[in-house]
Amino acid sequence: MGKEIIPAGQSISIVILFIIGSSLFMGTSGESGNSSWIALILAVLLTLPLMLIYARLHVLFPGKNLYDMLIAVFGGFIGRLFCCLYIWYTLHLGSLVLRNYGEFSKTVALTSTPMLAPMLIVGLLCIWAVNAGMEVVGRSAKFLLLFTLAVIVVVQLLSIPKFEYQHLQPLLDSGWGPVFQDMAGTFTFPFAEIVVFLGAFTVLPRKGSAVRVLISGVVIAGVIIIGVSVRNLLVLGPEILSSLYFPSYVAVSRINIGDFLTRIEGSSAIIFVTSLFIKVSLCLYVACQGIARVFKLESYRSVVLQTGLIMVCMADFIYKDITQMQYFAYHIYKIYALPFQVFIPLLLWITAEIMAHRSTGREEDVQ
Amino acid sequence: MPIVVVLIYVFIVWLDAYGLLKQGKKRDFYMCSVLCLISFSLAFSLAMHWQIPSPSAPIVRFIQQLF
Amino acid sequence: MKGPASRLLAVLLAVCMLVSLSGCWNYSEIDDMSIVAGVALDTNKADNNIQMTVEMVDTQGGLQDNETGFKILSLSGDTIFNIARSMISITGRKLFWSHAKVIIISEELAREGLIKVIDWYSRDTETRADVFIFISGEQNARQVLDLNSTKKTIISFELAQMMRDEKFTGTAPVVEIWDFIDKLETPGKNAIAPLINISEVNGQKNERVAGAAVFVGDRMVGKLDGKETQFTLFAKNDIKGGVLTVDNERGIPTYSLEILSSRTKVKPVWTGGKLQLQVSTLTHTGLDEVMSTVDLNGKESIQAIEERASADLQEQILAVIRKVQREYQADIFGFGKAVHDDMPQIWHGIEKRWPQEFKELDIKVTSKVVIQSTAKSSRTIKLGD
Repeated sequence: MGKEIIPAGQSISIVILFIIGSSLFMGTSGESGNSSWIALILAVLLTLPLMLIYARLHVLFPGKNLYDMLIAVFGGFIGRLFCCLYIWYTLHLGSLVLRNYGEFSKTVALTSTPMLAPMLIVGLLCIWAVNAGMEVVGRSAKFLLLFTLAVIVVVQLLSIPKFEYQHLQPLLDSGWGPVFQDMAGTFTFPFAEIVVFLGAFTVLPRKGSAVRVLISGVVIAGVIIIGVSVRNLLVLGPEILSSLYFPSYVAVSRINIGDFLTRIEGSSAIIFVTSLFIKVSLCLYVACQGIARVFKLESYRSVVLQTGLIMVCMADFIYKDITQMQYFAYHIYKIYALPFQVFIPLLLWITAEIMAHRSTGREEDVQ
Repeated sequence: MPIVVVLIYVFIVWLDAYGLLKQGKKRDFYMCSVLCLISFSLAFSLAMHWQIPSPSAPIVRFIQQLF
Repeated sequence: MKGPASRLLAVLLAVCMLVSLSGCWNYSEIDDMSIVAGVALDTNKADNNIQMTVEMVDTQGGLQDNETGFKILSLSGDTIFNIARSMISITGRKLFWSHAKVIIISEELAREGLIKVIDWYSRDTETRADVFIFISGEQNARQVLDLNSTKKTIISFELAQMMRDEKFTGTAPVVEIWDFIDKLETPGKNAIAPLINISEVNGQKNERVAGAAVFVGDRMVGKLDGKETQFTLFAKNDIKGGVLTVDNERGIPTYSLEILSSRTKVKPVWTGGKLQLQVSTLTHTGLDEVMSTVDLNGKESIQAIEERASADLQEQILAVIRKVQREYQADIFGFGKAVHDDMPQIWHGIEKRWPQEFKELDIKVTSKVVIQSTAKSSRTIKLGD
């Protein structure tokens, strides 16, 4: 297959939907209570320098994706090792996200359906989309983003009568400590997960466009997540918020306009599925690209079906129940994900800069 | 239920791996069959309701040891 | 595979998937469910467990009758969920909780502690958290639901409708379960719930919602009657309507003021080393009734009525707050939260002893009543002989 290139607008849609992915319904870590919006703003600010580093990598290695970069910089053996780590990370992330969806549908919507059923259907859809190619994912992302934004805005407007502004008071009640903890948690999940997009850098149109794509994607997604979190906080209040698995669902269920427009929380679950679909598709695409690069396959399309099926199966047994999932997502993940999101890319960047420096120095010597 | 899984996987192997062999992509075929084997064993264990150890458990233990 | 054969296969596959995937895993007919309209919970002294009475909508009424039928069922058990499921053995169908509108809890059960009965209701996915909660002032809660046999209507829906119109009287708080649990969990706020009683007039029994039950934690500790509840709602900024009666100069109740809107601001102030709470209310009213023929000027002018009403309201609100402070030590007005919001440092210091602090709290109430209009007539009815 020839090169797949998708225009910048579609890349930005993918980035936005990827980041808001499961945070739309799972919420973010809530240890700082009513100051969680401060933690969110700080997390977005913290992500921006990381995005600049990722974008720089795109400039240093035009037309290559994460795996090519790792092999080029670290050589055959160690590079391949890092690649395997990233294959595992994206596979794991995809299963995590699928499991989020499965738990959501089992807890709230379809209680008698075994969890594997909705996960399998969404998984098959993602396999099909990735097999069709990144252009398909890009186009659907653009369309789905418009739809998701429309629904989010409508729901925000409808819940305004239920806002209680005293839930935001008092400011910084628990002090700065929990706010920083929350900031670290939100930084790794969901913002810095965009490291997965590094594996798909080959689809970006031209040399410098990574900056625009990443920064605008992160900022817009940050605004959406802050809006949704603040809405949850205003409607529910910090105490109830801390006891719920799916705060957005309960917040939307409170909407009651003239006794006519009520119980719309089921319909608002649709946006969960759309952003989830893009997130899992991207994880699947990057994982398959990784396998293709490491084992020198002709095309990633050969392994899409199998990797997808592995992802779905893994999603089923990766946790025993929802409490384990909650614990992992909010306490373990922020430490486990750091090497993949921060350390290895930093190492890659520094080594790449040194190499680029040395090679330009040698060119000057030769001349 | 496990029988259904086996039948579906026979169909998948025929479509996917055999299709790759016919197209002459040798390496892809090997990789695909290895992955096929892995996913088949996972799906079969799920269908037979065997307990598969979760990969997140060692990660959790490792991180908890660090702190 | 190319050509028409593969197209046919694709279409066949699509049709199969449409039919099988776009449905639900299972389905239930309405005939197979009993729709619950309201629930009453009592203590069962004989077995020392809980008795649950369920008012159900009867779906077999048929299309000829205009009224919806209903059924009532009582069962006792150890846990609420246990009873709910055991009802299947009597009704033959699973109960469907999503349409329930009302929970009535007996005073005895409320005095023991409500968390054990409320947790299931807020945790289960089928039950909805916007049901109205009542405390029955009668001997048990079941009697209230039993009224449906004499009145031939579904009591629960009637009670729900009453709650929606409650804002026009303002003598009982409107409390939904999520609101109740929220107040339980928030430090610095105590919960209240409306009281239901059965009143008998001319041999006809009716349910009457008036007054409030005061809770400390999840235990009921006392009651407030209808008038006191109105002033409590003033202090909580929960008044949306209702009537204020004002005396004339000689102390005879003469005027009725219809409350159009009311706003209460609570401000904590640290004066002289002690915490003082300043409650100020601003009420816009309309003069709707003058039960005498005097002219509305001089000592009985609008101005004078306003001033009298303001002084009266101020006194009454202060009296209610003092009563709750002394007798129940329950901060049902949310003063603790107000301190928390405006002075977080001080709150952290006194949070642990808040019930004690609340008991000795210094309160200052200022009320202002503004009479915006006198409805249709500009003067009283004159006797012209």
